[in-house]
Amino acid sequence: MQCEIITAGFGGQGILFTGDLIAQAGLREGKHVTFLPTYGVAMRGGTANCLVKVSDEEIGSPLFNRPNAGIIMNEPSLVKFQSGVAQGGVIIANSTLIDHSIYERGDDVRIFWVPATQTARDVAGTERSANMVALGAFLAVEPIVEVATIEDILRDVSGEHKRALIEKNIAALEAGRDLVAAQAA
Amino acid sequence: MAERTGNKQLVKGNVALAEGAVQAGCKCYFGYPITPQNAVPEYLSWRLPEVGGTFLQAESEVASINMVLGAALTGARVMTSSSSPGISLMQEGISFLAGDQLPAVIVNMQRCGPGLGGIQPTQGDYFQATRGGGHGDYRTLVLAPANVQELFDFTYLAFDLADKYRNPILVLGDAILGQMKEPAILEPDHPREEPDKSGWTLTGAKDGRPLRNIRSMFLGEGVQEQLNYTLREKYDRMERDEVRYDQRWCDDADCAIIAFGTAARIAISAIHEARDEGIRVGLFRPQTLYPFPFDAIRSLSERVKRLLVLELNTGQMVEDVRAAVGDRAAVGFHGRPAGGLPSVTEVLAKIEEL
Repeated sequence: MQCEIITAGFGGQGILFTGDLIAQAGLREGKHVTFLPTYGVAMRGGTANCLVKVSDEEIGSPLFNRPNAGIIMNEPSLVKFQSGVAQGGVIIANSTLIDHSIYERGDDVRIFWVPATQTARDVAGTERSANMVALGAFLAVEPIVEVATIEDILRDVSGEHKRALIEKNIAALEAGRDLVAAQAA
Repeated sequence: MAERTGNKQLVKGNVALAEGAVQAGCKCYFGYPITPQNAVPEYLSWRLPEVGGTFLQAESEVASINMVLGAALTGARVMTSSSSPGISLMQEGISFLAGDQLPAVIVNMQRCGPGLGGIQPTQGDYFQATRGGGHGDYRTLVLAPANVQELFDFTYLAFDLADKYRNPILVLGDAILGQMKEPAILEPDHPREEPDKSGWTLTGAKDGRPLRNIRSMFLGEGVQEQLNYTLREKYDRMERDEVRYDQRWCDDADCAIIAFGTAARIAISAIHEARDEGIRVGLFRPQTLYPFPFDAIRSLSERVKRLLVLELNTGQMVEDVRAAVGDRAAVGFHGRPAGGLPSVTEVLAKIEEL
């Protein structure tokens, strides 16, 4: 099975970091992974996206083909990527920043509206953890890697001085998971 | 892509190649920034001093390649990296390295041209890389990695090959390979082979040994001609001993895709999909572009009668494939230049056309 995930949003929303985390977790769980960022003419406040593939088998092309998941953090990114998501795919959309009216896909894609930015403010005290809310929500729908693996990586890569920040991010991750569990119920 | 054992880490292609250079004993790096390879100098700017090496950002590509030449004269393992327009600027220096018979490693993370072009991936520099690139009758050995592990391994290997042949070696990547991350083992799978270079390097004749000159200009009758025969003899040895390729799924194949680098990655995805549909497609992936695997492709064409060359350009390597195949098999071509990357669906359609 191969999962092809786009993460997209504003520069500064932790878009590349989120993609990197998924790839790191896939590697720790013994899967094949690739991570391809956009590069060059991108800046803080501009749009950023990256493509991650996680597979049980060797991955050929690291490029955009038929993504079956999108973690979409702002409106321009939903406009740009919604049509590319494969039938049966999943979209996590940050409803704090995206107006429902721009969504054009039908029932062939499962979309989950997650107030990621608001939830991050409420749970972590900073909207910078919105990516973790969205990631938690995504992994609740598509458990391609374990949330526990993501948490292990967050703890491993950060020094003691960032401990408080890590625990906030983990709280945001778990809040995202719970939001989707509530929607699915 | 043989499986290797060791500690796999998620690493960016540009970083993997830079670490490959460090572990090969590279002691000097000279370069000038250009997208999409800036992670190479960024990494080496702290990593090389850590191992007692020298990192220097030069004022231009022309200065960089001539600093490479100066360091190579002393026997130091030396590298530069750039991307297409920067590599064009270096061609005079590369020609001098070849004429002076100096070992050096040059990395080209290709971006699209011609001219200043753009920052998108391409394989538009195949001709430049495999035909020498600068003036004069010379070649550079060209290694073509297709994944992050090979970026590490081939850069590591390039230093041994440079010393073995006293010739500049090119590592030819592209914007995708440089920017992407995937798991790789950043440890060499064999010890490096650094020969004794004391017989020719310019290190100062303080011990009273006779003075040495290294040059590429010889005005005496027949001397320049003889240098060219000496170079040719090295290229003959490369063609005999250094051809590398990866051949997969060809045993039962009705057709095969011939591609290198990122194009080969796209080909692998297309081949998996084709085989799921019952179409038996093989892959032939040159890992050296010079020397080119003419013999292996000729023998492939005896068995597989339909071949598709896939490139990120409008048709360069396909000329070498056609020269190898002759009329033994049908050779089709599909290419997209200047950042227009072929989709898997597009490649599948081309396979069905064959």
